[in-house]
Amino acid sequence: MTTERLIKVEALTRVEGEGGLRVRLQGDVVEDVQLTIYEPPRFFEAFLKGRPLQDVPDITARICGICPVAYQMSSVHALEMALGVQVTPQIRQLRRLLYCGEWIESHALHMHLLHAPDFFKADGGIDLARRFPDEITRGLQLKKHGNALLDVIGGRAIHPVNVAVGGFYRLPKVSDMRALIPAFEWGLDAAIQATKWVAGFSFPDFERPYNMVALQHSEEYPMNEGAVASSSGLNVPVTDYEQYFEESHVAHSTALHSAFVSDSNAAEANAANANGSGGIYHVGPLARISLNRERLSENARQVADEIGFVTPCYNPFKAIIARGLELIHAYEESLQILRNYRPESEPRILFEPRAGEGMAATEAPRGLLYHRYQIDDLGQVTFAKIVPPTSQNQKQIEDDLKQMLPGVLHEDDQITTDACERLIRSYDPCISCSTHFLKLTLERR
Amino acid sequence: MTAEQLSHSDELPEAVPLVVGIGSSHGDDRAGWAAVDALADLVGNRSILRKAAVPIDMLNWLNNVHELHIVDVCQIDGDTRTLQPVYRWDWSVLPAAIGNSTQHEAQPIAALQTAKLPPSDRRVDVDARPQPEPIQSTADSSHSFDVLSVLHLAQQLGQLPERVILWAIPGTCFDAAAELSQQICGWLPDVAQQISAELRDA
Repeated sequence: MTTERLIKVEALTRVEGEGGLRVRLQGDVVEDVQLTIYEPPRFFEAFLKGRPLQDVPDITARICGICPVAYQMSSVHALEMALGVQVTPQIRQLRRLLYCGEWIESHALHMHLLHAPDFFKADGGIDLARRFPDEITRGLQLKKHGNALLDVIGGRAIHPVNVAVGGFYRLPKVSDMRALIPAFEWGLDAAIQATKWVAGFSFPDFERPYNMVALQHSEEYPMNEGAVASSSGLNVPVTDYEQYFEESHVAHSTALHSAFVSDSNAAEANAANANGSGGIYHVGPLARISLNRERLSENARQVADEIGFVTPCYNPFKAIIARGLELIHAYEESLQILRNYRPESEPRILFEPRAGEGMAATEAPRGLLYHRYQIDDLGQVTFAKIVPPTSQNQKQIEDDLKQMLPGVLHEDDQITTDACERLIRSYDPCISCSTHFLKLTLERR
Repeated sequence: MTAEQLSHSDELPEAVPLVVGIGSSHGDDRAGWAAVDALADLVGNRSILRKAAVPIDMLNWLNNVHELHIVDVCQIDGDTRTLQPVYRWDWSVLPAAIGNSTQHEAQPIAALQTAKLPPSDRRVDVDARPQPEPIQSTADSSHSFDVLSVLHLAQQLGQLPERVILWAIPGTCFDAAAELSQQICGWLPDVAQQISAELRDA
């Protein structure tokens, strides 16, 4: 006689935002897994309509307190495409530096205080600090550096205020940039030590045949530019993103799900669907490194080789190592820019509003973030579409759980629940970001 | 140096009390910053004043600090008819469970979000000020560590000053970009006087 067992996690811990998990089992068979997102929809796409395009970076920055730069970067690049604006090489470089600051801040925090505790059965970052005070202190110092960089480039660590369509409102001072160098030299070495520390953790033996999706660039590790690429062979301009990826609404989540387009004529999308994945794909640091390893900075590549980090990496728990390698890269690239900075251009390119449409994708700490805007000839937004990385990972997370659960079902509910939570946390999900839009259908009787 | 200028420096000139105002630019959440501004004229060189947007920033400033005062806004759960301008807690006598329970660390708590008043609304003198218990409530984000969690983290890292005093100003309106309420503006001189009176030299 089979029995039904229901595992419920009312509220996931140590993740950004509010979400839960519901798993229904019939005996040893996993019948259903739902990552339930109940954080209220936030309607950013709706209330951006009618706003001046100049307001978009500041508004979208408030989608998230931990990755505001990602939203600002995706928005300004999309709007600049609509306006036909081409930024200077210096503006381009400073935007990469700003993104380095966000990666450092986000990755350092997640690695040390949110994810590392799972590998030691610690209750959280405070419990882990008791056992590893030096490592946690080092991690907090790294986070502080990220904040400092956002402060200098972006004007403020939380929700930067210096980002504008066309560039920045002001260029940073040489003295402020130079003042960061000693800390970042220390930070590069600290990031290397931190990565080696996490690489020594004991990782669950769990791998999935992910279809990795990330930006891919011919010359640099991707942040703000590149083609949309996948390990199934996709490599298309960002302007074609919506031909290959579609969103859908599911009843148990206020965040939309993403998948490869099911009826696409494109061979790449069909290949992605043909592997039985149901169009599911994986974004984030593992995807970025798997598709761009050779464009990591020199120290990051060396450390990856030294610790034996194999790419593509299909173990979601090892994303903590990928974040460490990206930390190293961010420090190394930051130092190169900080050391050579000289204000050379105007802070931003001025423009005249015109009607148009633009789209862009950048690599948020959690993965690919896509924006599309339409603007009218007055420079007001008439349409906005925002696809966060956590939305894109939701189906993958549910699928991972379905595959992982049979291996832990023999345990009691608490142990099984903990295992599910640890898997979800390895994605560093930003649930607050993903609940940006809800389709509303009114049925009148 | 202004409080804002000091906020960007990690180096403290000497072992003096540190006062950190935590806040944002949204309504009564400005209270912590406003309190620091009100203190600036009173304390002179007797203390270092800082403003923080997130509590975890405090960890950057605790080196060589023997006494820490934290000023933040709180929301009152209880009879709000007889609000005091500020509520005070000594960290050393707070119940150990406050801000340190596994459950609440798992659901990180908001910074001094709620204080429960005793049922009586009688006026009490300063020496017998009610010590409302700071109640943990769920925070919006695990990326934004609340005050009590940050203090516990500092304790685990051996960075917690010998003396830590929490000051909470009751607020009611937290609308985005709103100004500080008139009520709190009126309280600030009294709040600054109370904090100033407690600052001790090393």
